[in-house]
Amino acid sequence: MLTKLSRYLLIFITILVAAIYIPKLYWLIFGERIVAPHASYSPVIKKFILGKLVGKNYLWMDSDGKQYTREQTDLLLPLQNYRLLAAKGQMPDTLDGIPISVEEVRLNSFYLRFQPYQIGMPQIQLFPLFESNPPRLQLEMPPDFFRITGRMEFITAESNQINSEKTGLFTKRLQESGFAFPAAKIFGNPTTRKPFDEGYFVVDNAGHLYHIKMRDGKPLCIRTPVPADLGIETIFVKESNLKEFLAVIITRSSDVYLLMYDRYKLQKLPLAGYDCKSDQLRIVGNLFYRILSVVSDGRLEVTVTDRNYEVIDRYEETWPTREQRTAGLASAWLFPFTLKLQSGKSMFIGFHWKGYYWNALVLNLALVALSFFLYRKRNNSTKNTIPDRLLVALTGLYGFIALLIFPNHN
Amino acid sequence: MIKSLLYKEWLKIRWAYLIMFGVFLLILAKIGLEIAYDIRQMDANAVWYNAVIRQQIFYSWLLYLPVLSGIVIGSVQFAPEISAKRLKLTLHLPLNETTILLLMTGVGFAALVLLYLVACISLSLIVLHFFPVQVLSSVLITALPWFLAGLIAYLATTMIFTEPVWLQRVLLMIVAWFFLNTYLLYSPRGGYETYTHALPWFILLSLFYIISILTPAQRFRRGVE
Amino acid sequence: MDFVVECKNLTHYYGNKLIYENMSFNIPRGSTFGLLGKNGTGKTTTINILNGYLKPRSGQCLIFGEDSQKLSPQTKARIGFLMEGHIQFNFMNIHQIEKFYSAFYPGQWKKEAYWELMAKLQVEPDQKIATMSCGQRSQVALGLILAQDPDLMILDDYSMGLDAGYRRLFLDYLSEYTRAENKTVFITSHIIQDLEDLIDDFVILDYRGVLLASTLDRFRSEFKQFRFDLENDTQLSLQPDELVSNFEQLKNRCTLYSFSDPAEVKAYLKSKQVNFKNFKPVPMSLEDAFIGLTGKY
Repeated sequence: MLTKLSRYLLIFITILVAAIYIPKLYWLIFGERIVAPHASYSPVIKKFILGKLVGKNYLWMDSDGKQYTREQTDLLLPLQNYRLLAAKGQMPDTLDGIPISVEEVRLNSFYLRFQPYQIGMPQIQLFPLFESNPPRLQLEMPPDFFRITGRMEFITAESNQINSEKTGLFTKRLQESGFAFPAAKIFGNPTTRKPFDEGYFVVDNAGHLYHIKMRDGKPLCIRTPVPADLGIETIFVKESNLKEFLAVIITRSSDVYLLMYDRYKLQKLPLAGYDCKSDQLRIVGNLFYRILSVVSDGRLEVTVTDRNYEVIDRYEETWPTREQRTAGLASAWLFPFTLKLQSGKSMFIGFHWKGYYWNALVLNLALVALSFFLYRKRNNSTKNTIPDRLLVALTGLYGFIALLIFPNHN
Repeated sequence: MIKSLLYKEWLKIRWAYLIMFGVFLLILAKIGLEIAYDIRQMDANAVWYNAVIRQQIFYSWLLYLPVLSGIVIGSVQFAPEISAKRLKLTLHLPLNETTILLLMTGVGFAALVLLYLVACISLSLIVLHFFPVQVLSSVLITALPWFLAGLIAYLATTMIFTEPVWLQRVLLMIVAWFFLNTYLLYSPRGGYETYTHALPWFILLSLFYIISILTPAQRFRRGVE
Repeated sequence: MDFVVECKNLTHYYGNKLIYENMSFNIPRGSTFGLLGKNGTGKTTTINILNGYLKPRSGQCLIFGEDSQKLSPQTKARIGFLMEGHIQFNFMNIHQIEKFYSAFYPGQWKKEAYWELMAKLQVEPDQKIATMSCGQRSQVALGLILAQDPDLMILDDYSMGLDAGYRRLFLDYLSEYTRAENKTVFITSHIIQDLEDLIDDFVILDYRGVLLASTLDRFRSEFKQFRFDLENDTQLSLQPDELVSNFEQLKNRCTLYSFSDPAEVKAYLKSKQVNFKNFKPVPMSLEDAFIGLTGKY
């Protein structure tokens, strides 16, 4: 009895392993390069400019399909290629009749990209709080890290002991602002490689969003007017000299807001079809426009807005995904299901199951017939092998391999 | 009888077991000394920053060590049984064969669990000496699959030794290798705690190997060639 | 009659190579049974089937009435098993191994039998069995099996690798054991002379299966060797048949093995128009008889 169980447990493991690694091998052999197209918006011709891989060549074209050389494209996108154009002496002095300078274009340009794996990634809940008014101008790594449990505790790295004075100071300040301990979520940009520091945004136990900073060694704690029922999934704090917004907030329902410098107002981005768990979001800003791109498997949706986030134009394009191409369609005849442990869309290991592909039943049943033949050769009684054959019918190639490795001896 | 059987298993593994204990303690000492060295060389907050924010795994030396110890203990325990087919003598003992086999793997399994427990406790003490408790929980979550892999490696080793046919052995090795691989995956971008959500499933799956020795033992008993 | 071992219609192949077909034998309680044959004729295969380490292609063995594939622990306790080459747990020393085995046979373990043999060995108390000589290891294996005091002993090629002294010692202890009441022994060997005073029944295997199943007494009295000379150097072509078990010729001197009487053999030779002289029966040892029956190669 136990021996039988032992064999079926091993068969299960083998099927599991086969369902992970055989499709992996398949794609190693047949996987082709799929590059999502890239979209920008030309202030010169007021059209989307697309770059895409056609065959082996990367081509540039506008949304009407007219092709351009790379040099022509550079000139169509001066707000993006200003460095190159300035170096070549081709940077225009005015655009749309508005005089522009390279310095102005540079200050107003930013590029933000959020990958699905950055949302809800593992993070030890310890953070360095920078002095936002550093005496020597350059941001410096503080000697302690904080955590917000029953209070806001600072732990000195050197001694691994709590700095009770600083802890008391900050805890008191947080309490005065009505902060409900402990913190539910803490977001910051803990790097010294940024122009200045805006501290941390902390969701307290009651769902309110607080802005916590340290200035001249003193705590600053502001309760923002952001509604507690916004459903914050994550916040990316992005200090930028443009000082238009402090952070990007993504909610659980995949709405995206900019948290503005102006009284912590929320600016909702007019995105179409964005799912933060699976899609990449790009926010490109320049002197004239905001270009919002959502890239998912087989689909690009671009929205261009003015600097007040009023929609000017939208563009959408789809292309066949891996699963929709020849190799993908063929794989559905081979594998009744596939399993992946890692995904480009999450930092976490998980069981990503795909299937059930009914096409594979044809192969499955052929393998059942083959295993029937093999068992007869080994003189097994039919009754004992029924579970084995059901297994092959269900799991196809994987089950067949498992039975070859663990033959039935009854 | 059971005590006597356990005594025999212990005789086989004791030296290798003590050596693995030593290796674990050496590696743990190395990890601790390295942290202390880094703190002297580049300030404690930079060390914390690397461990907490940059997600560097300062205990990555432990990644394959449990697997290694599992293979070593499994080998020293089962190589003598398989050379000259001594397992025939063991199975001839007047005890139920399943009981004998599970007691044998039980000895190695329990010895490894004890070893891993001691290693985890020592690691915890080292981590807590330098870092807050938040880092410790992250370390334990990150390293737990590695220790599970050690137990699987042990059970797979005993099974591979017991299997009488070489071709089949190679197949068992391939399955075990890939299965172990699923416990030792780094996140695509490096970093800690990647198994957090899947951990209950991985713990469950590791139990699937717990009586694995019975399958090749049945083939051994039937004289499959 | 009371049989300790009953093997019925055993058939086994390795791949497509036939080992034997429909082999049957019974071992009565208290007797010593020899399975004889040259190396590679299936002796160890049979032991494996008896001990349940091999499932035969067909047929069945009963030991103390139990299917050998599913022996209960109680029955196993009654069976002493000596592996080919006196294999034991060689990572133990003689004290550890005695302590180990004694726990498995409560009430039947005869410590003295073991230590009596060990006292004769020149080994260090903590010396591992692995570092002992072949002969010393055989004594340890024998001592353990004697201490177990089993009702049935299964001995797989006890003589392998032993020099004459150890072989004799082994046999001395074995015959003492068989003198006890109701002790049954199953023994395989390719050295026959030792078994002369030991075995009652036997089966001889050759590469095609069972060559002969008989008792020692019957074999001794019925199997004969005849010598005769030919008139000239002609090569006789006498193939083994119902009368002739084996035939050898060196120049004009011939040796013929048969289960038949001298008169019958003479008549047979005459019927084949063989011109022989100096015809005489020659007494032979068991080993001579064994080789006479199985051939020299």
